[in-house]
Amino acid sequence: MGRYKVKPTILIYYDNDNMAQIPLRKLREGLEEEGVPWEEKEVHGNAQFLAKQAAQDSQLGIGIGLISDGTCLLQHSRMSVGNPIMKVMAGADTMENYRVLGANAARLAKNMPLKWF
Amino acid sequence: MLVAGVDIGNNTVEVALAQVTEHKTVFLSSGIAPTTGVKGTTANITGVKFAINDALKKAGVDIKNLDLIRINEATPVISDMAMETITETIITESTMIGHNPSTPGGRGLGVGKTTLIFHLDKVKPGEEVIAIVPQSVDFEHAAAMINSASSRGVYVEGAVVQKDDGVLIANRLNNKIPIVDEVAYIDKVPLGMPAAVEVAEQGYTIKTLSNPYGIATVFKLSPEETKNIVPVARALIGNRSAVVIRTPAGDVQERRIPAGSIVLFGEKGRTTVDLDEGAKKVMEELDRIYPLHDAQGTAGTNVGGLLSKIRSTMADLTGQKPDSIKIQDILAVDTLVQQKVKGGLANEFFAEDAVGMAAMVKSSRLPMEKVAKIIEEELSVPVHIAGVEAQMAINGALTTPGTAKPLAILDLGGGSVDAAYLTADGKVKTVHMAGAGDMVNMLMGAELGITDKMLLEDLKCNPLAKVESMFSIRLEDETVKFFDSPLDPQLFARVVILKDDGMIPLPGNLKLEKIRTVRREAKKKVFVTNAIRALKQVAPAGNIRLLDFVVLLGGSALDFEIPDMISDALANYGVVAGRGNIRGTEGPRNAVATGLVLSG
Repeated sequence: MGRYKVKPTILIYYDNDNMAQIPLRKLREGLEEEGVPWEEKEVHGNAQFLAKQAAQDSQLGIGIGLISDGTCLLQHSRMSVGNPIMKVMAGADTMENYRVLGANAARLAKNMPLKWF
Repeated sequence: MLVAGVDIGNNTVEVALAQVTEHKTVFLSSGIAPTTGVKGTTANITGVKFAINDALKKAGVDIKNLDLIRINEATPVISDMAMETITETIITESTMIGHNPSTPGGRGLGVGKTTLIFHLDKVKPGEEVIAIVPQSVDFEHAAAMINSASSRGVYVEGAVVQKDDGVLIANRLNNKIPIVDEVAYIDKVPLGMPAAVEVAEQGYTIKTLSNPYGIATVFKLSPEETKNIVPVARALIGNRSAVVIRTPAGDVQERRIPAGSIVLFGEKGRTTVDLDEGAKKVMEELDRIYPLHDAQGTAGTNVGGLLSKIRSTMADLTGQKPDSIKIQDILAVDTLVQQKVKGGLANEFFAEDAVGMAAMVKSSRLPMEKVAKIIEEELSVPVHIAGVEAQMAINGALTTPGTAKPLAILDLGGGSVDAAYLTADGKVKTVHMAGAGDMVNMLMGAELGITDKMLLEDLKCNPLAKVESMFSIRLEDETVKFFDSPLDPQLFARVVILKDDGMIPLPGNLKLEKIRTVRREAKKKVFVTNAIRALKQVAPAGNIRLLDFVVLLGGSALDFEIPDMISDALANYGVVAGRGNIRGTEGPRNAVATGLVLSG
C-alpha cells in the first residue's frame, strides 16, 4: 500500500518469468491491440492470489494472475476472489485464449463488450 | 349453473368461468392458452381444452360440474403481410470494405495497388502499394516485411489485415500507415487493383471515402463514374475505417426496382397509386375511396408479387381460389431493410428502402358450428354459439370500472386492429384494420436485420438497458439501477433486454438508441395509424371527437408503451382512452370470454 502510481494501468502478476513466456506474450498482444496500458511484475503465490493482488493494486481495479502451469485468471477488484471474470486453464487448447483474456482485460477498462472463446 | 365463456382468438384462447344464477353472476377464474391451428378450424380443440382446464384448475372445480360452454361467432377476418424492397444496391464482388472493426491501426488515408504481403519484395522502389495480410502471417512478420519494403523505397501506403492485428502491426512500423483489420474474406480482395485505405483518429469518422468527391479525387473518376460510386460513399458514412477498391468495371450500382403501382377498388371509385410515391400516398388514396372492395398490383412488379403472395396465403387458409379473395383493407408502411451486401468482404449491410404491407380479407363464415360440435363431443359439455365477437367484447369491456355507454373498443391483436362502437341505444358497428402486433415484429426485424422470432418478440415487449458497470445498468429513461451482486460478465457493456426473469444480451453492435427508435416508430406506424383509421370508421359521423370512451383491449394492449401512444394520440381528439380492466381484475384480456358469460 501507499505505492505511488502515476498512471492507471492493468496489472499482470506472474510467478515465473521463464515458464510464462508464451502466455505472457499473448496477454500483451491482446492488451496492446486494444490500446490499454499495462504493467507486469513477478509475484509468488497461487493464481487466485496473484489475480486478486493485481486487481487490488491496479488503479483500474483490473488484474491478471498467471502461474507457470498456464493457469490464468482475469480479476476485477470489485468481484469476489472465487469469481474471476474469465479464466484460462492449464493446458489451454490454443495460446490465442490468452490473447482473448488480455483483450478482455482491456475491454473491461474501456467499458466494451467482452469476447468469448 | 357453471358457465365457461370461451373466446378463440388468432393467437390465444381465453376462458372466463362463472357461477351464474338468476340474479347474480359470480366470476370464479380465467384461463388462457395458445390457439392451436387457424382460428375457426377443428384444430382449435386442443387449445380450447388447455384453456378450459387452466380456468377449472384455478377455480378448483372439476370439469364434470361444468354445465355450459359458450363460444362466440368468430369474426371471419384473416390478415397477412409481406415486405418488398424497392431499391437494391449491387456491389459486384469486393469493391469496398465497410465494416467497423473496433481497433483499426494507424490513421490517415493511403492509396496504392493491392499487393499480397509475400510479394512486397518484388515491388519496384517508388511504387505505391496497399499490403494485403492474410491470417497466416503474424503481426511481427507482417510489420517486418512492410518495414523492409519501405526501407527499399517502396511506398507501402496502407494495409488490409485478416486478423485483429491492426494496432499491433501499426505500433511496429517505422512509417505510420492506416490499417483496416478483421476482414473476414481477405482472399476475395482483388490484387493489383488501385485501392484506398482510410482510418480516422479515435473519436472521428472517415472523411474522404465517405464523400463521393473524395473517392472521385482518389481514383480520378469521371462525373459519370462518380454518380455510380455514391452508394459506396453512403454506406461508409459514420465508419471509423474503410477500404475502397477500384475494380475495372466500376461495378457498384444502386438499382431502383420498378415498385409498380397498386389499384384500389373502393366504394367511392377506383384509384391507382405508384408505390414510388411512398406508403403515405397509398394510405391517403385508400382513405379517399374507403371502404375498400379489392386491391390489385401490377403484375411482374414487387407490389404485384406482394399482393399475390398475400392472396395465395389467404387462399390456402380459407380453401378459396386466389382470384376470389377480395382484399378489404391494407396498411402500407415505408421502412428500411437491412440487407447483406452480396460478395461483401466483411459482412457489410446496406439499408434499402422497402414497403411493408398488411392486407386483410373477410373469408366466408368460419365453421364455428363444427368447432362447437367437436368441443361438445370431446368434453361432454353442451356448447352454445352465443353471438357476435364485437358485441361480446363490448359487453366485457363495459365491466371496466369507469366506463359507460356509448363506448368504443379497440382490440389490439396480433393480426388486426378491430374497433367496435356501441351507441347509447345499443347498436354496434364494427370494423377491422389490417396490421397489428405481427407487423410490428416484421418491421422491426427488417430494419434491425434480426430474423430470430423469439428475440424480436422480446425486443418488442420489453424495454432496454445498457450495462454500464459490473454493478449497474442505465435504463432507457437514463436512470441508473444498481445491483448488490455483480452481473454476469457475458452482459458486460452490452445492450440488454430487461425481462421479468432476467436480462438478455443483444448480439453485435446494435445501439440502444437505434433499437428504441425503430421499436417505437414501428409501433406508431402500425398501432397509432390503425387506431385512428379504425375509430374514424366506427365513430358517429366519422368524427373521433364525438367518441367519449375508448377502451383498449387485446394482447397488444398489454404492451408497455402502445396504450400510452394511442392514449396520447387520441387525447388530441378529446377522447378518454385507456387500457381496459375487465371485471376490474383482468386487465385488457378476457373481454370476449367475459362478455360471453354475461350474454346468457
